[in-house]
Amino acid sequence: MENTLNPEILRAAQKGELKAFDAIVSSYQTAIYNHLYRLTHDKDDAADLAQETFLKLYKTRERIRAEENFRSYLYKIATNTAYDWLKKKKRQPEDLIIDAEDGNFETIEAQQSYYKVERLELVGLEMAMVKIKPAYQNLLILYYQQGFTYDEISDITGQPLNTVKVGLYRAKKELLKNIE
Amino acid sequence: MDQDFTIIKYLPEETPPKGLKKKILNKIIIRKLRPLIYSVTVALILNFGFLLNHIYRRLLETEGLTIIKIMIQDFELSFDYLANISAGLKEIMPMFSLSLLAVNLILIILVAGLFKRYSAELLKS
Repeated sequence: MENTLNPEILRAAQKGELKAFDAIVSSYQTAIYNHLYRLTHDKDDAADLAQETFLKLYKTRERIRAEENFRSYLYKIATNTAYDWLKKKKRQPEDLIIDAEDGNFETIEAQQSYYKVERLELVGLEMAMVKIKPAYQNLLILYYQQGFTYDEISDITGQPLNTVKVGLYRAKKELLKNIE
Repeated sequence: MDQDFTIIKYLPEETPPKGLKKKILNKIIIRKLRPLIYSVTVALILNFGFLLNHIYRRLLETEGLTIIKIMIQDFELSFDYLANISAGLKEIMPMFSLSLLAVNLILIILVAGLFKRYSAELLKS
């Protein structure tokens, strides 16, 4: 997915111009807040972490590249910020890990039909999503809601490409289990 | 069958709390102004020390400390006495320096409040 912001804004942000950051915050605050809310399940924490995310973006503004995927970069900062926070809170650190020890996974096509998801109402889906590991939720949201590619998710989460694919497969499996 | 999961795309989005953007931008502004805030803080502290030293030396020169001691010992709660004391203090105290010291102190308190409120932006690297 391409950057929705004008490259000029990103170049200005790299120089630390406040107007550019104003535009960035306006464009991405809702998406980043929601991403963080899905990881923390707490509105106040999500708001605090959103502030921290944009502040980190400002601190590392020299690394912003107008020609590169800025959206992925911002999500990467947000994800790392949330993971650091979860680790500090010692909230089930194992939940942050995408299980992919063997690296093998069946293709979705080879699996059962996912008709259940098709029939599911959004409220039920929301409830099932809350029950699965934050790392899995993150993968599902990044892939299906935010439209990131496997490569981009690999970059955002810092996980190898294959781990992302395995993780996504397991996330779907987990989601289905909670829908049942 | 993979595409069945695209329903996730339609999960309702939470609206960020009111004022979140303002809070974020405030933090960025504070961070941007950090070098200036540090310089002002150092200048205020140095100035405070300088003024305090100046006032103390002035009091020693005019034997102001001894006079203040006597004033406290003979303290009376009457209008005439208080009027005399204030007139006397005006003569021995460096009033201009004292005013500057008060202003300086208020500014230091304000800066301390700023550091307390924005500790993450000002104190962490």
